[in-house]
Amino acid sequence: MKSFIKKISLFLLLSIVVLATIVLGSKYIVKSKSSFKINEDITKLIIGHSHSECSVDDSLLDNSINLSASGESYFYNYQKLKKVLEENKQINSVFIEFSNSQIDSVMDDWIWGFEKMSYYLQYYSPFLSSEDFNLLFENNSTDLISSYSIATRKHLYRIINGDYYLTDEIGSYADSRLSKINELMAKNRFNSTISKSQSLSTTNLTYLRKMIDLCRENKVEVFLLRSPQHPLYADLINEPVFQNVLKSQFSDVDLLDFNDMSFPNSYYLDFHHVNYKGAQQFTRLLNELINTDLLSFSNKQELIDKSLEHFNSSNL
Amino acid sequence: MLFNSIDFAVFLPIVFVLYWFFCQKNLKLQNILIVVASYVFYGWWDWRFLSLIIFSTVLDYSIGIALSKENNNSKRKLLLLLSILVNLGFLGFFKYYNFFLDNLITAFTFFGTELRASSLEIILPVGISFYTFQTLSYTIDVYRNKLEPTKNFVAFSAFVSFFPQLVAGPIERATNLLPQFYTQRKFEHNKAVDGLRQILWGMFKKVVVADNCAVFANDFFNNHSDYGGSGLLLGVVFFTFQIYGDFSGYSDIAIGTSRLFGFDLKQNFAFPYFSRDIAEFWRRWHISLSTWFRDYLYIPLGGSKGGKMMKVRNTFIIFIVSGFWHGANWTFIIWGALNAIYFLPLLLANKNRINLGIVGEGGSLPTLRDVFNISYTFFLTMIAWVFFRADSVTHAIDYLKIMFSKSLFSIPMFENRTHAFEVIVLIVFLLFIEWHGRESKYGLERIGLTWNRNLRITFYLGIICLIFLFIGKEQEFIYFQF
Repeated sequence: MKSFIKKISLFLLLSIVVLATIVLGSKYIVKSKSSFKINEDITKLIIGHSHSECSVDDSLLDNSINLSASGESYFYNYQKLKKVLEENKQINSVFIEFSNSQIDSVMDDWIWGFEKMSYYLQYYSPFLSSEDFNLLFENNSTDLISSYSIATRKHLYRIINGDYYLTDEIGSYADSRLSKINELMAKNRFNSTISKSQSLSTTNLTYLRKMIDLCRENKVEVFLLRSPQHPLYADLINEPVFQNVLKSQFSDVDLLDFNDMSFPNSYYLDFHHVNYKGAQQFTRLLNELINTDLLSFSNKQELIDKSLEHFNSSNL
Repeated sequence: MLFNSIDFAVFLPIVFVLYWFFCQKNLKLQNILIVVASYVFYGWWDWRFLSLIIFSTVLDYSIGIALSKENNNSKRKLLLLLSILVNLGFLGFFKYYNFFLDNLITAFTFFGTELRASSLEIILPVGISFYTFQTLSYTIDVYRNKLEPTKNFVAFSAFVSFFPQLVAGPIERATNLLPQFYTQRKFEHNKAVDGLRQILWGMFKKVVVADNCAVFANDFFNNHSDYGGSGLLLGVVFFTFQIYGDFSGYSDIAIGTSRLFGFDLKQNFAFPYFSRDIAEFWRRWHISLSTWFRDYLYIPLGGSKGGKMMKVRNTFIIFIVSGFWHGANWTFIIWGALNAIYFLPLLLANKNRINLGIVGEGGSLPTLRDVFNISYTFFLTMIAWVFFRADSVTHAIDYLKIMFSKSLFSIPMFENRTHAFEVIVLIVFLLFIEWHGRESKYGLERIGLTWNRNLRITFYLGIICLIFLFIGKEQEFIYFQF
């Protein structure tokens, strides 16, 4: 019996050592070799989830790169921003998508829910601080183990293929050619993703604040950006809460709000997102405004609203 | 509590240490600890349903005692009937109430009468189909005088609730398992090591093969209209290995865990996908259920004796009942009937017992004829699995229609193909190990007994690494729902 316990304990210890070597070793190699470099002439960075991923066509916005990724919460946006700013000192402006769904408690699941955590840790696990790791561990330790196993597999592939350039994998403009609005309206699918109680995700908002602070520490201008959303978008239900959060927590940051920019239905992918047509219109307008010194105006929204008024009336 | 959960990883060593360090010298203490541990194991899921197990235990224990005292045949029959009615009554209520009600309403509507009755929100108690059959086997065997009724209530409670096989089998016969609770278990080093090895192999099958196959099988089955025939064929292949990895993996963990505590359970899967015909498949798949139905339903009905019509009737009955045992859905009934149709030609031609041995026994490769027969049987099984996995009969038919369309010969298009390729490599690895170990009780046994120590340990470490690298979201075992 004692010999059995001894042998099993030794075998377990050996297994732990082997697994720890694989996990930590691969993590260390990826951490030390990975690159988040972008072109030297890129000075503007767009970051956020699927709204900005679909709305900002960075080929139409001067000196910009869109690194938004669908389903990515501020927690993972922050990890990305940390590395991109660290390796790209030429970046001088960061635009962070700030929309109605991102303040809601459903975002917690986007941080430590299995689906998102297992996906995004493949890219960001080597760069998490102990505080970030603890946050995930405290909220979902079971799925964190599975997520680390998936991340380790990805690291091993990366090492085998010698592929350490992550910029191409962590987000880009999504050129969608579809338009589903009429179909969704016919099927009466106006479902909201907002929680019934409209409660806030304090964690997600904390990481938005961290992103803002990080930009300022690096002397990078930071703006919040709300991309156009369909007027029938069900998540707009929490607009009063959204405005309240904006005023009470982020009054020190300018919001460039294009929510009222309206298009025909064929310019939207669905109620949440614009498609390539909407993206072209929106990005061109944004580019035009930036080139006319929008970012140095004290009342930026006034200028935006005027442009939107003009845009919407000419579209009608 | 799931075998593939952290909870179980903590629970098992605690029970193991208590069992061998504090209860080794006392049989009663050993059995009490098993009962308590089993109730904790079961109650971890939902403690309220423990009352069902306790009720079933008390009832069948009392009926067993009463049967031993009763010589009057009609009264003995009444006692047996009581046990059957109560046990199957619980099973019927929890598992089949809504199914029968819905079908009754549909039937009345078909004949133009509206029947008003609403379905109940019933939670199916985990493992009810398994422990119900286990306790029934006890009462029936006592009734048939094949088994002395037990007067040891603790041992009987431990037999009914034995945690390794409580929720998903193997369905043990009282004649095999109950006597093991009468004798004090002594720790046997080799048995415990063998148990751990079987647990490791079961974990590999469940966590690596089944759970990773599930990702693709679920996608193909849930969105079948988005894919072409070749994609859907791949979906069935994934499900075929998902169900095998899931269920045989559970059985391996259950049998291995039992061996850690000094118990021997019956083999539940004997490499079924190497079967050369359907009859052989059913001798190798879920053996504890097939033999249960054989002994308590098929043989009492007359078995394969009698005329052709009798054989056809009995075959259909046993396969359809077996299908229905899996779940209250027409898909399971059709799955059972389809297997009966596969099986009948063999039975009627007296060819159902030609493949009794192990394929390629003593050799390393199968003959070409064996390869053909194995592939053909695998294909038939796979088609039947479509009905087993589908949400409804229409879903299964739609799935098969698309699968056998022209697009069957196209290149399958789906997301995450790299991962799918990894899973296929893992399936090939599983088949390779199982082929290598097909003359043993489980895939890894032969390696454990024949390879040298260093090679063996390296191999086990490799499997542990695979388990870690391919662990996905903690998934329930499919058979929990049955």
